[in-house]
Amino acid sequence: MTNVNLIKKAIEWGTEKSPWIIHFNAGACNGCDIETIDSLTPRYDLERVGILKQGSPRHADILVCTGAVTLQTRDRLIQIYEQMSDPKFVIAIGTCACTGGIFEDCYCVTGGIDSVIPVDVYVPGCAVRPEAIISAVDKLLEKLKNAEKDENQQKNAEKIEEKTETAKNGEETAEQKEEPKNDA
Amino acid sequence: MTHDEAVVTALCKKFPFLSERISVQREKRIFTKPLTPEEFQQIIPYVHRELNFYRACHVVGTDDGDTLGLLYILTDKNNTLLILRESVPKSNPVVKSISSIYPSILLHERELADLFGVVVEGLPEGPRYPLPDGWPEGNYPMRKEWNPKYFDKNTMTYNDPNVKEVK
Repeated sequence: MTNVNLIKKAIEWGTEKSPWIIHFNAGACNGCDIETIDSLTPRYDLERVGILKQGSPRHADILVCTGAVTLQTRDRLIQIYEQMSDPKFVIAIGTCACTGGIFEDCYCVTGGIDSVIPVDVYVPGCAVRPEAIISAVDKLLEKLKNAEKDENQQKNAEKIEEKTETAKNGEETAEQKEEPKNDA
Repeated sequence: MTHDEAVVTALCKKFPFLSERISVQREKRIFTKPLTPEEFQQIIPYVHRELNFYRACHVVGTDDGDTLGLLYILTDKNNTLLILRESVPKSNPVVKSISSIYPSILLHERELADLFGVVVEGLPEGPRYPLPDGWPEGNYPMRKEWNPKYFDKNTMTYNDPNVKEVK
């Protein structure tokens, strides 16, 4: 059990310090794609803070999606999302990825990314500035840290609850044991 | 005589039926009124070989009610646009492919076949473009009677409550 906990802690630490991202174009006009690449290349250089672009979804923690979801890419997007290992997060980049944008209700568009898979962070804009993408990743990491804190708090609370419950149950069983004695 | 006028006079000499149906709308923009497919097929080889309109930029499809309109946009080295308009009845929209003369027009013809339901004769076999796999046949989303409201994207079926007959 201690080993499992250690590995879990290592994974959490790794995802916080160096999240690996995979970029998927679900039917964008390439404007947002250029901006995501721009935020990774030397001018803004997200790699200096440990964010690395990955080719395979099996190695990635964060799915960066651009564009409205078309009927042709819908199944592929779900496939890629299912291939990613837990814990996994999704960032929707651009107005089209958030709501469908100008392509909403088009004959071959299902809507935003959240019409197919759950999304953690929305970044509106047409096209999105690289600064906005960096801030989105930052916010996602903050969310991660807070979630871990909450989880720890929840675990502690559960432990306390369990203890109190067991204590209560013990008392109840004791009372129940006593009751039949009185009847007898 | 400007280059545009020279093109117009040459076309009118060769094809008398064009004389009142072709006009220079503004500089470097020559438009024709709707032509039948037979007339269009006569004009295309002449325009390509003799008048040196060697490049086909684009094909625009339009839904004009009972007819479907096709606008073929051709250019030459002077950047003059010759816009040939073709119209076919919606009940029998059959057009001959010009991809043997202009190879770049192939994708546009596939698009017309997918989005407008134009039957393009002489189109080589290949994948559909640009509609997704599993799109139901007989649904042409750029036609005016087709409404995206009645299309179910999950099951890929089209159910129009106003039309009772299923073709």
